[in-house]
Amino acid sequence: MSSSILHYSLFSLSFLLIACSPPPQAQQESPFLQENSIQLASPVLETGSTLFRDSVRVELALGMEGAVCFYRVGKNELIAYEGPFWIKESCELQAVARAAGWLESEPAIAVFKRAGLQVAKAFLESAPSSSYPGDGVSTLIDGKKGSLNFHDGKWLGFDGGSMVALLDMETPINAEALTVSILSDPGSWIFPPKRIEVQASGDGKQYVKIAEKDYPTPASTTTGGLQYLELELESTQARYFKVTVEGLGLVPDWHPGAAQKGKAWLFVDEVILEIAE
Amino acid sequence: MLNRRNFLGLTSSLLTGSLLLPDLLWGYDASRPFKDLVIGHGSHRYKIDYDWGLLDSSQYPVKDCHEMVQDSKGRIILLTNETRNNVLIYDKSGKFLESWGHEYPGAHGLTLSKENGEDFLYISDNNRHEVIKTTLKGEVVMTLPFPQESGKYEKADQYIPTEVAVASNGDIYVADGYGMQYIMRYNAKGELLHVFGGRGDGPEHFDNAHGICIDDRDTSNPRLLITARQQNALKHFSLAGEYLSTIELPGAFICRPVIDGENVYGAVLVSKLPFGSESGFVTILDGQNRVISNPGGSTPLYQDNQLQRMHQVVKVFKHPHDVCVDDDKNLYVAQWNSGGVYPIKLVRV
Repeated sequence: MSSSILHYSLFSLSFLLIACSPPPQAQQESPFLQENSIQLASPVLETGSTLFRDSVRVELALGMEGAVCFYRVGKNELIAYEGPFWIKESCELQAVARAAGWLESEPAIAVFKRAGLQVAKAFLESAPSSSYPGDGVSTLIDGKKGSLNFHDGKWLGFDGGSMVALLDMETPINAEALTVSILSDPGSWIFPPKRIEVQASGDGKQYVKIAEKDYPTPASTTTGGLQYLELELESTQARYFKVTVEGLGLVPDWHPGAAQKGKAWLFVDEVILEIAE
Repeated sequence: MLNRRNFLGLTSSLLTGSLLLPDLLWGYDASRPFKDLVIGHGSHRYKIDYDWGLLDSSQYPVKDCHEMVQDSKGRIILLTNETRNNVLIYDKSGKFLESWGHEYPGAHGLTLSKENGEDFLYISDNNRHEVIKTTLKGEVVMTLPFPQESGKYEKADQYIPTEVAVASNGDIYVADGYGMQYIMRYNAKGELLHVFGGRGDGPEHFDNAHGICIDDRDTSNPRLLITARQQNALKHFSLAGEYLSTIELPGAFICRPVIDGENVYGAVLVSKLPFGSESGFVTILDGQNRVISNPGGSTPLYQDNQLQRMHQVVKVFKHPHDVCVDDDKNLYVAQWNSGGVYPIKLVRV
């Protein structure tokens, strides 16, 4: 029996047990919380940069005696965690914690991205804030992932505005996808962009739009994280790619900063171009 | 009355449904009855009473349950920023005894001080920008307004006191934890003697000096123990305000230190940033200031004498804001921004 079938069986069994047997009772009426009434927290996922060239090591742990972590890479089967493992391809990783007497955790999720083409030169048509200049435009193409700490010097921060970046590949390529790596941290006034547009050009003068995408605005400060915003590109041979990442402008109405018409920050650390393999 | 001992967790897990197939009752054994859950580690382990202190919220509502203390009669006193009843008083079983207080919209810090055989309360009010000393009946004895005479503040709004500690000589220390991070030292009459701390990068500075207490575990050498919450640390200072040392608590956004016997207890509001909502737990240190138990949190682990990062492991708490230790060594956990819940009692096993 494959482990996924086994997993389905166990899952059904759980429901059968709930449906068919008398509800589990404590031996005597207890004033205290009983087993299987409280959920575990998601496991802690320790990893290097989620943007990687060759591979990246991942460790999982809950930090609780008796708890076991399970994970799946992409659409693969869920497997029990037995020790550190390596991610070698772009993928989404999900991990949950389980322990007898406790309800399974929500999944911890991380997206891993293999670094794209080496961009020869890049230019910024909009200047980042002097508070978050990163390492200038090279920040966008250095393959170094910013962390959740937006002060780490690996981010370009734009205060209320947008980012317009120009990538020069030196020779024409047929790019398939472009990814903008951003930070969303609404509690710190940092929001995903409203919209991203990609234009391509052979001569650096005449540009044609080859992708465009709108993004939803977060509805609370409790969500966020490192995000890769990927756009599929219309097939074109081009040397120059212009990426316009349009910031939100002002913080949304629900935000504590709305009363003072606070500006929404836009934080970008990488722009990644990929071609079909 | 709301029965909190239901299977809400189960329902929400089913509804939110992870992309993984949830195996809700992993390790479930039908032949064995459910047991009481136990949290914590080593010598400090607890059963969880969610129903302690539940009241009819239409009659005795709470907003944020900020802090709790036990008085000399053994009663448990809760401070909330709900002005319909800022102070709720219970017995240890959770039976409601009395309430008072309508004038503390920013009720945040609650400190009990025994002075000449009588109990007094010090309420730090964030919104009023002052500290109010009352009797246990709520009669105002003294008010410590914003310390203009310190020369550190231009206006009252800059001063947002979060906690008070009272030394055995009667000196009163106030932590401006949501304001400019100074610690004010007054004499018993309320005259300002000294100001220290403040923002900065030095070890003597604070980022969110949220709590303060007198650490009198060494009776010959009483010191101040002050929270630096954003720095995940507690800091020892002399009673004269000189910086002494730091206790690092990696990952723990600890609210105020509470001394009981040889131990320090603290509510950890959240355990990760920046998206750490509802990730709190309780932490307990021994006489050497080493973490020995984290009810609701990860097993304390020291590697090369360094405490490893701590975090929530079970969703018993959302945002713990204070721990009160009673004379039976049971704990009461008051929570901020947790849906108007009453305190949770932890009964030591």
